[in-house]
Amino acid sequence: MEKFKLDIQRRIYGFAGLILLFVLTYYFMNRMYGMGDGSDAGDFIRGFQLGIFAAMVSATVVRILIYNAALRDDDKLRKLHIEETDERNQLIALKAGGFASLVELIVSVLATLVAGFFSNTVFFTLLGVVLFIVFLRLITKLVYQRIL
Amino acid sequence: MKTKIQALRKEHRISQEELALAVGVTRQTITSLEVGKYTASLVLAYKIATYFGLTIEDVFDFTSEGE
Repeated sequence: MEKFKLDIQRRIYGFAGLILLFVLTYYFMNRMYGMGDGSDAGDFIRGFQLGIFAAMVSATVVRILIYNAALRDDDKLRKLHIEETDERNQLIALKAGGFASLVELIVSVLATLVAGFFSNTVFFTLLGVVLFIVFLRLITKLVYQRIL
Repeated sequence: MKTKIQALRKEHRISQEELALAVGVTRQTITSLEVGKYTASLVLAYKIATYFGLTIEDVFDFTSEGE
């Protein structure tokens, strides 16, 4: 349990760093591309960006609060540990994740094909995403084949 | 896979939550084991059997698995 406590502490620091990264990224992206008359983005895109940013920061803050509470209470820490290591939960995540990941890849490829008829920018953005997903799947498969 | 977990729990007068905490899983996992929806790993089966002071074969019914 001491090892898990240390792990939780590291995660808190990691998430705090992530919040800082989100805030800095949003701020500098807005300064470089978002403010003033030179911006191409409409209200919907602006709103969506702000929404995503707020959701990511909120989710990270909630996680930090949960971890902090667990560090102060041994019962909560044990319950958190059980939730994360429960074999049934892990199996569900594995099965659901695997299937969802495959569907995401197929839909991304289809979207890339369709986008090619309408916009070069969207086509190449989606192509970059698809190639990244394929590369990531390959690398993680190779890594797990080695370590398991 | 059929198990005797529910009967053993009632005999020992313990809740699903207490058993789950004792063997290191969630209450939902114990529920799934009791209704036969989920098959425990060897490690979990051993922990549950040890908790009740029995062998794995006493707690888990393997006769239907071979079919």
